[in-house]
Amino acid sequence: MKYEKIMKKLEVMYSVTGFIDEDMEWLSFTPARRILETTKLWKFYVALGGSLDPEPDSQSPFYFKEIPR
Amino acid sequence: MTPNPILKVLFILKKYRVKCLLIGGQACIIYGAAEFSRDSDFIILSTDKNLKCLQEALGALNAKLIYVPPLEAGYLKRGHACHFRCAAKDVEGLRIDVISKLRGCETFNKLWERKKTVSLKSGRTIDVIGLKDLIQSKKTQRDKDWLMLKRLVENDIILNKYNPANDRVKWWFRECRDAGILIKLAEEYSRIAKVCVRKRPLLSLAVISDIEKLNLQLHDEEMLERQKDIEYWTPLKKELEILRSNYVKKGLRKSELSR
Repeated sequence: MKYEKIMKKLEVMYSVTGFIDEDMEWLSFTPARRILETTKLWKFYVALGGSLDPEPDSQSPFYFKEIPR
Repeated sequence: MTPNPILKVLFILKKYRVKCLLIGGQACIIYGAAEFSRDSDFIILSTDKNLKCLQEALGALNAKLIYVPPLEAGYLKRGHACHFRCAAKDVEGLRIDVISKLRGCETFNKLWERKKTVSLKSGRTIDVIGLKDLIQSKKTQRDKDWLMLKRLVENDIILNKYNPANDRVKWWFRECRDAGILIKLAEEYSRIAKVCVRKRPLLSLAVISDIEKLNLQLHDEEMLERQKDIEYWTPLKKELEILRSNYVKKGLRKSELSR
């Protein structure tokens, strides 16, 4: 579906869900495009020295202190 | 490092023919969640053959186990997850978590039948858990999962608002957690709403537009699911504590965690 058509659809829903412009633009992308856009984010994230550790989340069953190797 | 270490992991898993599906935050991004997830989660088929393929792929990524339990079918089949950290070039530091059973979801083979395959321009493909199964897997004890679950359902409503199939509307009625949206849906699809009340009685409040009571019941429904998740993980966490304690006490060989 064309971008403009999807954007029009999304605009109709805007007031219903409170989605902001960026959300709507993101939704209009195909799944493959979203992956490519994320790739751009990774480039910046890594360049800025961002950590690859998952965010601490005490509610997660996967939240643990690593066993030193 | 390449721009997207997640893609590298995905391509390596594919190269080694690991039968797995992308789940978690990365799958949410594919379905339209606007978030930045720093790890990669997979559900895998826990057969000996597939685990051997996975071991080889992990070797290529120089990924080491960083916590108990070890990567064995028995643990995976009971619902445990195995956690790795990559050390290979381009993916250094990246966490990979694998699991073969998701609470409330169908078996891996069923999930595989319903998977979504995303094709990239390069001709490569990514196998992702289906949206409905992803939503089901997000009914956990974590706040962030419920926020994500709500947003993913709303995304689907937005993207398919016009002329949705009846089954899709029924699914919205089963999974939508926003009282305002449920009331609007009930106005638009009143006949389907009344049918769905049988399976989700709180929808009767959407039909009569009682937003206050509906919000309360949606809250109770969520708390119930959270409690089920806590109960599901309690024995598994106990088992993990014992495994960890044994590891520390007995000083198991390093290879035990690094194979």
